Amino acid sequence: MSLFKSLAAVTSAVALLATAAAAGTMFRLEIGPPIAAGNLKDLKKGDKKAVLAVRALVCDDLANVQITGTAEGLVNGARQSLPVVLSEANKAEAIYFVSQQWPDTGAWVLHLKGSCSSPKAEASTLVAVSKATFIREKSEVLREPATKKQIESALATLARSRS
Amino acid sequence: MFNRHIERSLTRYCDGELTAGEKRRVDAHLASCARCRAALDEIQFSAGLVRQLSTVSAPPSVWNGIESALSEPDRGHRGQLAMRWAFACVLVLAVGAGGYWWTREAAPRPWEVAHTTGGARRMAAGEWVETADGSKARIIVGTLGTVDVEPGTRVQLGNVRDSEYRLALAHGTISAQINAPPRLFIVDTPASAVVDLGCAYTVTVGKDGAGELRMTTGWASLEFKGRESLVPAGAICRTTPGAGPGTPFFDDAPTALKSAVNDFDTGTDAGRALDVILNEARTRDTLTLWHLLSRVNSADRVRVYERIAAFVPPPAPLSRDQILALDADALRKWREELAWKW
Repeated sequence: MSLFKSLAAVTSAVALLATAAAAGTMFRLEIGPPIAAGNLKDLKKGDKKAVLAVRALVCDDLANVQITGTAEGLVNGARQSLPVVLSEANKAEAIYFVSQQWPDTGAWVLHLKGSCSSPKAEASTLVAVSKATFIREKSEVLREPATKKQIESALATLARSRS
Repeated sequence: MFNRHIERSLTRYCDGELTAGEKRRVDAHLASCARCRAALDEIQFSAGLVRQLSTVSAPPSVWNGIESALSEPDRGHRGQLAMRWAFACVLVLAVGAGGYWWTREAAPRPWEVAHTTGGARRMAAGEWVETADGSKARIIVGTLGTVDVEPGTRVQLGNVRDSEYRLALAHGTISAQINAPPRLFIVDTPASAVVDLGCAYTVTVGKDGAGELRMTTGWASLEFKGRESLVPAGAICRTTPGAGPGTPFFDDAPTALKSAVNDFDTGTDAGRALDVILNEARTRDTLTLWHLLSRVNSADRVRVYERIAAFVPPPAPLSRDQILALDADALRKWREELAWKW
């Protein structure tokens, strides 16, 4: 009986999490074209080179959300990892620009990771990029930081699609 | 002394101009010299003839001749004046021409243009860049970027100011890669102005003035007489002379939707076209639907609103009424929310 209760509790918790995620009520990162980042007329010169914009959602303290990123690449069979610097578009709403900081050649996936302090949560997104554009249909939104296995899988899938 | 003939003094003798002493000596010589008496007789005869002549007025031709003769010395003077004027004119012309060429060389030539068929050269506002069917050119837009001019294109270089770089595309195709603050680089076409808000795009204009904008990265706005279309990366927008920018759509949109957008813009069975657009639209096609909000009648606006809201509702605190009333601020905020899906 206790086993049955335990299984039921776990199943309920998983279902609850899945429902919450599906309903968009959990902390997460969202990507979009730079045009999504707000007032077009106030953009700085450098922002115009942005490949995409990223924002955090469902966090009580958006102004203190931390978002970091790396570019994970496969160039001529060699694995590369480069840090990516984000620029603020609207810090109060946790919106940032990402400009191209990776080579034109090879297959590249951006791993963007965010953390919210209230409620305490982490999320990430894997974004397939091609030179200075992002490929939405080959991107993933995750409820937690991407694992090494998820990153490698996304990169391999992208590289295969481009070969 | 009397042995010397006195012929030189005979005229003055006849006229009574000699002194008493000179007259006595002439009288003494004439008394003893037959030759000088004959000479005196000839002079006195001639003088008598002259005294018999009457005084008459000179004819005009004589006076003209006199005036002409009197002007002889002035002719030389006037010639000198003429020479001076001519020299001054040449000097002024030389200075003027020099000034023209100097200012022409010194005039701003902010555009650098390189043709595939030749070298690069600097060009000024107002000059045209034309490419033949087999040639291309590249325009350097200061430090902002480049514009590639495809074959068979005619584009005019415009004014360059701190706040504006401008080109005018008459026909053909150009591809721009610009990294500048928004609204600094503008391409005028017969149907719209392409205002750069982003990085890279291609504009094509046909001989009839109709055009098409394809955004590669970033975004741009097409503007014509208060009508504006925002075109983000991956989207296309057509332009029509007199009507301005059409409705933008993504290049990867369903074929039926793209065809319906064209029909809607050209007014070809617009009601049916709107039905197709609403039925075929994906989440991403809220780009197209958002632009339609202000381009349909109030009844159809409700249908368009409902379709967009089904994908992404207006963020709080925006209301349906604000959107349907085409409140500019509300429309902008909803567009910014929708854009996360574009």
